[in-house]
Amino acid sequence: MNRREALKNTGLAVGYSLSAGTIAAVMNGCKAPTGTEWIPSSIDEDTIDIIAEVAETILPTTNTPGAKEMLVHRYVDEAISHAYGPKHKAYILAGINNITADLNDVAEGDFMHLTGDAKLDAVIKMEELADAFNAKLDAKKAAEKAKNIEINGPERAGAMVHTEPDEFRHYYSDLKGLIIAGYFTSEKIGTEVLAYDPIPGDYDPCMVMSPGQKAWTH
Amino acid sequence: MLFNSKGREEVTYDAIVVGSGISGGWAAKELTDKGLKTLVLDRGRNIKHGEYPTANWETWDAPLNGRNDYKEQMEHYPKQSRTGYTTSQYTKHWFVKDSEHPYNEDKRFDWCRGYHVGGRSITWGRHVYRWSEMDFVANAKEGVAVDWPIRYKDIEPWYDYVEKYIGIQGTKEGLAQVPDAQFMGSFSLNCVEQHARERIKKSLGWTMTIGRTAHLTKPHKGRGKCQNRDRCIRGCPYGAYFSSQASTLPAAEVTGNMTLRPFSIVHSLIYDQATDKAIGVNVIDTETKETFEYYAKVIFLCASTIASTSILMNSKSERFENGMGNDSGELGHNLMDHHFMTGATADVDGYDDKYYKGRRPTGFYVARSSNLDHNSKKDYLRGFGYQGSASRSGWGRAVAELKAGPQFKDLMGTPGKWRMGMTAFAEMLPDHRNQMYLDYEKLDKWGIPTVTFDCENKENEMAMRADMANNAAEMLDASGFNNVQTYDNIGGPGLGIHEMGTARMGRDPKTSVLNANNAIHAVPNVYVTDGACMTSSACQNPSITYMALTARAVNHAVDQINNNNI
Repeated sequence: MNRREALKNTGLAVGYSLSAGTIAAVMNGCKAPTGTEWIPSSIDEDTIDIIAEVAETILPTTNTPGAKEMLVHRYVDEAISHAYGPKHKAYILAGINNITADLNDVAEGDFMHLTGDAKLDAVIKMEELADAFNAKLDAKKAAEKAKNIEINGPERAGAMVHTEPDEFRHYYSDLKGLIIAGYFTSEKIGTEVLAYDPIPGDYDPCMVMSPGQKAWTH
Repeated sequence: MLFNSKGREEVTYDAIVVGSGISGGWAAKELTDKGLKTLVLDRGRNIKHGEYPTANWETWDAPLNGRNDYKEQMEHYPKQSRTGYTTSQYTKHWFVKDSEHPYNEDKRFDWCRGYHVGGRSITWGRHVYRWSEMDFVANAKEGVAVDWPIRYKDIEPWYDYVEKYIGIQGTKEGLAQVPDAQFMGSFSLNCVEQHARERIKKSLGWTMTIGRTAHLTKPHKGRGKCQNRDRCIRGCPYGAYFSSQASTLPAAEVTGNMTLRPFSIVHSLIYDQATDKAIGVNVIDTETKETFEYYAKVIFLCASTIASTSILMNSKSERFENGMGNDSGELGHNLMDHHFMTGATADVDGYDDKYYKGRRPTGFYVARSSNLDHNSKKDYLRGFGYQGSASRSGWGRAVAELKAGPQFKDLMGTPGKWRMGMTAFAEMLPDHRNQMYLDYEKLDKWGIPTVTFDCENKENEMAMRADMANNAAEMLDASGFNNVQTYDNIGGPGLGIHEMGTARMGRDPKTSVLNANNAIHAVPNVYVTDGACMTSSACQNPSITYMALTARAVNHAVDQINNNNI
């Protein structure tokens, strides 16, 4: 069943709101296609498993699904394939396709065969490396901007033509951002894990939180 | 021309309206209400109320979960995408492809256009702030540009009229700089915003109020009330915010007096020297490229600021060698927008047990505080207001102490700390040097000259930007918030999507294009009631003023017709 078809006309009946339960019922059984045969478009085939493992380490299976089950690595590959400019894409892919070596370095061992909390420690170390790299870059850019304002005064307009920058933040920061976005914008997490309320009706400006309150799905 | 032929009768109407956005929709409704057979022309495709393809999408329904496709953006939307939000997966069908509708920039100008019936009334920001007496007198008082030919009392009853019809929400504050309006109800500030409102009032004397918007808080004239989905820009299936589709065009249609012709570019107006009037329009069908003429007693240009002026510029005759109504030489000049993209953000400690339910489609507004009186005098002219909101951060937030793992995952699924941010919207002075003109060498695919922009923020705009950031920081600081940070990411003029001026109203035909009733001084049956007519820009969002001016101008035009003056 096509959910869009089902919902297309709901709003035309004016003046009342459908409950979240009604909407959820309409939506049951409408999943995005998730074929078993899948090959990445951009990320190296022998790296995609390690990306799935990094994602699962950041967002592991608990009483709610983990990143692997949500096929977050596929989202990461798709986003990198389409959402980045050529320079940025090449930069991120170069980093990602070398992530095995980077992780093995920080883990001082073979990341994929680490046990216990060792994998978690390794991705935390990766992020600390990335944070330090980004802090340096941010400071450099801030200094350049300040210097530019000192010489030329405040900008009257931004650049007319879009150009990609020459330097980018650490690839791992983008990777982690994509992993988190892919997970929390997926249908199952949006409807079953977060607080899903597609047609809220009235606005409550100051709701008292209940214990275990989840964030609203956006 | 075959004046007495039956053929001509078939293409003759009482009135022609060019454009069907906020101004055109209002002109259509008012003219047809008053019994005039009205032809409404729009250059784009027809969109009926409810035909909003992405209105019910969730993130996972969108390609790339809502992320923009880089290649598509660069190929088709390199300028439209400068806003960062107009050409998203949810909204790109409401904006033109630059690849099909090119324009030229001597200086950067972000011209965001929606070519379809309803125009930008589907995607507008929906904020509605009245202009005040101080806005209408400012030019005369300070010797800037020319005086407005009208005062607040001239437009006040028309604000009442359009506000009651469209249904707006907000709270009365009794402020001179943003007069109270005909509010049907009001959304509420959330608890952190309410806290800030009280602290700011006490420490600085400035007023933070709910952002006044054209949303229904109860059903009204067959439209549904707002469901707090905050998907407005995609088109509202409930018709809960004002758009031409939800409000004015259906009203015009039920009169039986409207003929709507989509896919119709107006190339130029037809001038008749014998009567000193425009007698019709030259139209190109965008699909077939066939040309047509349509005739009427009165013509309303509501094609949007730049487009209406372009049509006048392209309407050349022996009488008007430099474009219709351009005796003053001001046509195309005094182009304005609002400058913005500067303000401040802060973290909020506390209110950890408080949240909100629903996605309120507005935020807060802070009314202008500069140059209101002797005590608030600055070393620049005019001023700015703020729009912003407080909310709890979500899964995109960074948490210093937790980077990955089971606890991290759980935490990201819960509401984070409160944050508040605001951005200033500031007045841009009219300046003859800021202009748009036509390039007759570079034609579009219909053979029409393309538009070139030569416009920039000048000294007065740049002089107030420091205050725009600092006052925001001061308010957040006065509210007791932490980690207050200012920002200034100036874009290009146009980015505010509040283009104004280029066919300004004025008292003197030698220095202005339009008179006090929005008619061309020298061509009394052509009215221009979109942003082109504006003599100054104030700092308030302009659409409600276009609606009021349009209704007022139609009233005038119909009087003129009834008295056989036009």
